[in-house]
Amino acid sequence: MIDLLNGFATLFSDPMALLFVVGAAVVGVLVGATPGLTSAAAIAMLVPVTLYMDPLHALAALVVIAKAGRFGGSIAAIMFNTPGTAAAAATTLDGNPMNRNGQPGKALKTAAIASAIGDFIGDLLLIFGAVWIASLTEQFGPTEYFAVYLAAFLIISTVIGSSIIKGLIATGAGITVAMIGPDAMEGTIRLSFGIFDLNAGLHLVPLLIGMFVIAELLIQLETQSKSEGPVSVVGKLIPDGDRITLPEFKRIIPVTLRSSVIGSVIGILPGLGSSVAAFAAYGQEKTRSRTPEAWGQGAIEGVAAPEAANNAVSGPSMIPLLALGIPGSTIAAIILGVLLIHGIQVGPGIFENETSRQIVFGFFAAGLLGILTYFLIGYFGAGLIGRVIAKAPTRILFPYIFLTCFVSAYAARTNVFDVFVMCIAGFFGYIMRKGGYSTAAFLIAFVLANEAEFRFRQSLVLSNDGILIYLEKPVALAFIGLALLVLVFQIRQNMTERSEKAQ
Amino acid sequence: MEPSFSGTNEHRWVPLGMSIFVSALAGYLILRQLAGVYRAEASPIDPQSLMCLILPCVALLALYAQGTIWFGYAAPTFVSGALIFRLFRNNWLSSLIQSLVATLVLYVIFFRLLKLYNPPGRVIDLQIPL
Repeated sequence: MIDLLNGFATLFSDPMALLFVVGAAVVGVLVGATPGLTSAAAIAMLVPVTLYMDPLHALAALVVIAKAGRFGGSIAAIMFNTPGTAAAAATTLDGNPMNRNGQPGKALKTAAIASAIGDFIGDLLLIFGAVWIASLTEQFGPTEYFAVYLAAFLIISTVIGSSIIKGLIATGAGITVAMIGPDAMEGTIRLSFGIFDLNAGLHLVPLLIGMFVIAELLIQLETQSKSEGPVSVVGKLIPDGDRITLPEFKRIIPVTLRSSVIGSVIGILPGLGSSVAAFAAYGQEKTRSRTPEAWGQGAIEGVAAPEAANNAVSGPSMIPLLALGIPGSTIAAIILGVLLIHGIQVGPGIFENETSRQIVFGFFAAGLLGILTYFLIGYFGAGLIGRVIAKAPTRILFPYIFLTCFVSAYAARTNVFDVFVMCIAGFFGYIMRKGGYSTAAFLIAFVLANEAEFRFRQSLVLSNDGILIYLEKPVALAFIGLALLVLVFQIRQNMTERSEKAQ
Repeated sequence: MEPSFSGTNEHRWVPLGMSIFVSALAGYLILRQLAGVYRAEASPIDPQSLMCLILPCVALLALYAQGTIWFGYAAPTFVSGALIFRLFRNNWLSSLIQSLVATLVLYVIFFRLLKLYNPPGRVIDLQIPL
């Protein structure tokens, strides 16, 4: 608690940090509300800029963009029936009908309240959970660590998409690409094919920008050549329809709290993500509702449930990152990259080192302040933002982003070779997304692969029984067992779904 | 006792293992598809879009990068920018103006404010006189 207060003190004594939090909240909401742009894409583009910033400013800006972007997705979902982010897809089910029923303001305010409460509960879990889990993992050696990495690879591959094989291929490809350059133990150059620029390996930033921004822009380019921009169909406005009444408020609070718990639990599990949480909470609350027939027609609880759940994922998805060094989501993987670039080692040690502890608690405080900021923006200005987005010509916005990507990729190492890497990554990102291969699984595997290989080989060097060392250590065995259990469960579930479809 | 992991080619094991793993899974998917057990949903990649839009766009970006090596930042950014704006269905005049604005704005942000190293052109070095 004292550390958190210190984090707030650090933040409030630094006007630049406060400015970054507010600016990031505005950028996040705008990006999230723009169909076709995700907060992950915005963060990917901004990572090179953060290399020139103080670590706390950089992390504060990125985490607040991620949080505000998740909420911003609800604006597009409610106003244009096009979720700005995948996480907001469930919000369209009742949010857009509320818009059509002439209650856009009420839907947006509900989304702002639910998102802020969900995010806040998720962040509390992050703050206390990360410290607690980190204290449990202090004794982990290379064997346990590799088991954790292996479990993360398997779990993420199996749960991140609809096809386990495609998930495993994406993960395997990410690991293979990460092997380019010097190996983790001896520094021997691998997979460089005699190309000098590959000797140092591939940098995270051009891959990030290529896979998440260029690939998305290529998809948008393709979509734009076939369709028109977003259109908001608002029904006849109901007098006083923007105000949330006390009985409505009483109805949405318990839904929000329960959905926040669902989102927080799902957030801890790597790979599941906020869209799963949103649909799970929506389904759960619809089942509990006394008027399930009203859901899908503009039920206010139908906006609160998915919004609370998808924002509650944000904090807990950082727990495995901070406590174990395992990113459970795309944004966590990007933040891991930023932490490593700034020389901050994640894992249990992050809370032991005084400097990194201060930065992490400053980061927590920035997250909480970011929630308040985007709540205020959302509650009072979401309607205006939606109208601005509807008028913003994406045919002008997207080319600017294209050009910014180019300079951003170059900025990472001031090397034009990285721009070529970005182009290739963009093309492969496009192909992967079209083919149903998860770019998030690829990225997470890329970020973790070298450390995983290092721990794997380190544990084998320490072992007298070769690979059997993984059967001798109970913690390692438990993690591997857990991963296999998830794999088997997922295979069974897929088979059941397939047989049901066949019938 | 001698550790079991002390070969001289250890650095090859992981990438080789991963390559075999990925190839085997890809081969399995292909075989299942050929055998008709697994049918991929109707190919979402539109060949016409791929050939007429996506590949030219990626090629343009790659040419832009090569152009930067030859002529520095400014000229390739302006030319490629105009073409990218045009790809997004802006008219020529708007594309040229927007591209000029984008070139200057990015120059100020990255090369002036962030003090990024401005790559000099190897063939002709066209710098912005700011």
